[in-house]
Amino acid sequence: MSFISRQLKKYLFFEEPEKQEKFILKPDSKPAGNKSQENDSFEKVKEKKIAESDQPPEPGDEVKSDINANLLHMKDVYSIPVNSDIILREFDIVYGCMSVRAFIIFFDGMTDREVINNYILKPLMVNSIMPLKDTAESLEDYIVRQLMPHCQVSINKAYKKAVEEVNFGGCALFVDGLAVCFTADVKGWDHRGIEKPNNEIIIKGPQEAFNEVLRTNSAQIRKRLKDEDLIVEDVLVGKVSRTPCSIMYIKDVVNEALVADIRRRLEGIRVDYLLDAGALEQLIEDSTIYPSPQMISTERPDYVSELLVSGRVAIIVDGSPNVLVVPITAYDLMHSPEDNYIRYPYVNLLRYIRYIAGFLALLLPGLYVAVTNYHHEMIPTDLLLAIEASREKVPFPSLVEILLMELSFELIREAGLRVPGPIGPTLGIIGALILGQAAVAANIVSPILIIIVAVTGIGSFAIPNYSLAYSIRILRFAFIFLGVLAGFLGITMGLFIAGSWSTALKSFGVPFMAPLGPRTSNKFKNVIFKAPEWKMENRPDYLNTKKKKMQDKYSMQWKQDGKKKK
Amino acid sequence: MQHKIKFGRWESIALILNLICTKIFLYFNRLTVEDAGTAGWLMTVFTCAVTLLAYSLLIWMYKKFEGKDILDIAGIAGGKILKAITGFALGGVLVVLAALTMREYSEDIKIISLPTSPLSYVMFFFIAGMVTASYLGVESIVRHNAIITPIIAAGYVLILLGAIPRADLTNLMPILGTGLKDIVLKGLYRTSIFVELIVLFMLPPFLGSYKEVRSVGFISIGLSSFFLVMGSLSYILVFPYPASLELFLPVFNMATLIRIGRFFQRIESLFVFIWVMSALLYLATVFFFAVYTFSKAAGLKYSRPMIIPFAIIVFSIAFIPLNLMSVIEIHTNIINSWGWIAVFVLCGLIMVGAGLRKRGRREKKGK
Repeated sequence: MSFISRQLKKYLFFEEPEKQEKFILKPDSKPAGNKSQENDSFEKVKEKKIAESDQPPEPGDEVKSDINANLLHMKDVYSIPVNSDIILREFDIVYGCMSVRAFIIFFDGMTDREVINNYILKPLMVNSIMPLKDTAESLEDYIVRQLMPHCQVSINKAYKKAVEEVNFGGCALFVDGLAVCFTADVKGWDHRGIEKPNNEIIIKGPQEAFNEVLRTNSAQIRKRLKDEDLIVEDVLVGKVSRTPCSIMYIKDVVNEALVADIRRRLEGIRVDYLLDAGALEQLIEDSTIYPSPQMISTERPDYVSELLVSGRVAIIVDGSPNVLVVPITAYDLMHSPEDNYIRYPYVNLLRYIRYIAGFLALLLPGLYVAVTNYHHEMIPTDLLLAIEASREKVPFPSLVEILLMELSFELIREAGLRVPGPIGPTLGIIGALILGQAAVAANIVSPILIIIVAVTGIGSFAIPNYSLAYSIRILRFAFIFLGVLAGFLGITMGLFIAGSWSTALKSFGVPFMAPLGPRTSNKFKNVIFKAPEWKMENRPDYLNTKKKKMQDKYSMQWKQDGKKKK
Repeated sequence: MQHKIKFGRWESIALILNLICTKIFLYFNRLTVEDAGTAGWLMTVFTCAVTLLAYSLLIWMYKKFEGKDILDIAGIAGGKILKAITGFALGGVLVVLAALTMREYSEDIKIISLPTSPLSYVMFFFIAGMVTASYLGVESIVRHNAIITPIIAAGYVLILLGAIPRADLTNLMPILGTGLKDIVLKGLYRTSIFVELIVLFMLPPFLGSYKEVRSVGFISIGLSSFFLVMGSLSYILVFPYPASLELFLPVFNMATLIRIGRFFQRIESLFVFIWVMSALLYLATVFFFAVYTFSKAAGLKYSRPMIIPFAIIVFSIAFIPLNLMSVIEIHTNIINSWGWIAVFVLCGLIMVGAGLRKRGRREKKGK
């Protein structure tokens, strides 16, 4: 009730809107809520990161020089001995003629035991017996320089840092007499290898997909782009989970304001846990109620690489096999990664088919209802007679008929996903053949409707973006009701409202319907049509990138060379 | 108010083009035949030429007021009072335009597709689209225009092409129709068909430079002229003079004639799509600018809270005419006969006044 009254008040009474600056991606744009662009320039961020790493620990969070105090603190933090998978190993290090107490702490199962035994514990416990090379060297330097033959060791003065490292598959070493701790990255949990993509299957092109490991995913992109300007910037999201997320972009291509805005959004998330890219998507998108996705979520590193080259930004979430790419426009959702690997005439054919599929999936049931209820005159007489003959014995109005079939189809689709693998296809056959056939035989639905629902279903499967297919499924029901209410008038009004909403929307500062509304240059090179590969000279204008050109004017220079020789 | 928003030349051209050309789908073609007989298309050519001339004069006067809309200019000419009067007058014209167009479209849709539905029910769909688009803002409206107007234009051209087999050149005879006097005199006051140019004079703050405003005006008037002349000419070519006076929806009637083989014979229902889309874009634009003009004239900071009350006003005004014939009569005999006063005379006088006032101030300063 309170929600309804709040909404009523909102529309009936005027409240001065809060001043909210919206981010618009322009060549000189500033991130929203930030007055100074300088603070977000790449160099400034670099300085900020260096300053952050040099920051002294907060009071009370400093590592103590007394090993017993550190031991008690870590036991308290990790609830030892209640917590069974945390390992705390105490031992002695020989330093000169002294024996110094030390302990390491790490999570069992998250770390690599081999690395800990051979490259952390063994040198500390065995090699330390050997005589010192340089007697003047301090214990801290001695440990880092001689006793820890590991590539990633850092020295921390705060417990917080040590705990963060341990939580993310590291191990922390505390030594008596030192007010610092050493952390080493010894991650070693079991994970999936690089497999074939499951949902974005293509025939030509690379067959590798992301997995759940952040660094494997970033490496998959880096191995494709081989560019020192490809930056991987880490942000921790989630107050408790502290999930590492990486912002990936090409420094000398991307608009820095875009990166700053993404950083601002990620740093502004206040949740306890972040478990997947799907959750992050919902926390950073511009409109949470707009049905269609406003960013690309893909499992293909080759597709992400291509989008990064065009001047977009990728967001990788640790633990998620999907990478988010922003900003996008509505047309990007109808592109497939395969579009880059096959010749452009085929791409254009496939794109037309996809648009037709989208149109059918969205409007066909609504149009059927509109035509059968309001616009009989547009059906040729022979077809009209055939439809009417088939509907003669059906007792329901066309709305009930189509809702029955659509709901049955959605049920089959949902059930097909949930049932165990081998039974899935069987269920599809049962649903499609037996249910459809039986429904027609029982005069519950007309045969023409089976065709309508089947074509609609096939159409929705031809949409390359999984989330877009969902939104079309939802909107389809809205168009069915609009078709029932007012025929073509209702459907056109629905399309108008959907279009107005889409044109009002922005994805990370980029108008969602660009480059057609608003118009920007190069609109016909890779939007609805795709130009030949040699024509793709410029990056999308609406991304306002630092570098506009992607390839030379004469990308097939050999042809020019051939001309010169003649 | 919302002057931080800027939009491009193409978006503005599409916006004005749709505003002017929507009447082709309603009554325009028949109107030209009623006025000048078989020379209706010649009258349209004359009307468009006069409009271009009048616009050239206006835009020449506008040069000194770069970046200002007609209300700002009225403010210069006569202070807040003249600004308010101008705003209420132009806003009033836009409200009446929205109401009449909505009523006419609703009546036509009712006749074509929804004969058993009440008129208010049909109107509800237009109101819903209009209000939603206005809530989403001017950026959304212009961008939507930029995408949809070319599709509407293509659909219209397809109808014209489809009707070509029915064209008969002898329908154009006598070439001067009811006479040169009608072509010239009626052609002059039919410049009122460009009454929606009022919106163009509200656009400069969104467009920026004088050059942009000038080219948007010329290109959109030029393109609209092309479509208006084509519409009028094709209508006269397809329907003989006596029949062309009787048809209540000229373009719809042309679409009914299209036959492609035995199967595709009644494709005029598809025409409802482009027709309704064009109407919704028109209503959204006119309604938004009506609200915007009133808010600006009244010096209000926000125009959004006025949307619902104005929608109710438009809805109520739309019910004032008794029937479709009265709507068409008001549209053709009042709006499309005297609309030129609002666009050319009122805007012209304001610019002259503001120019004189500016010069007076400059001279005062010089002394």
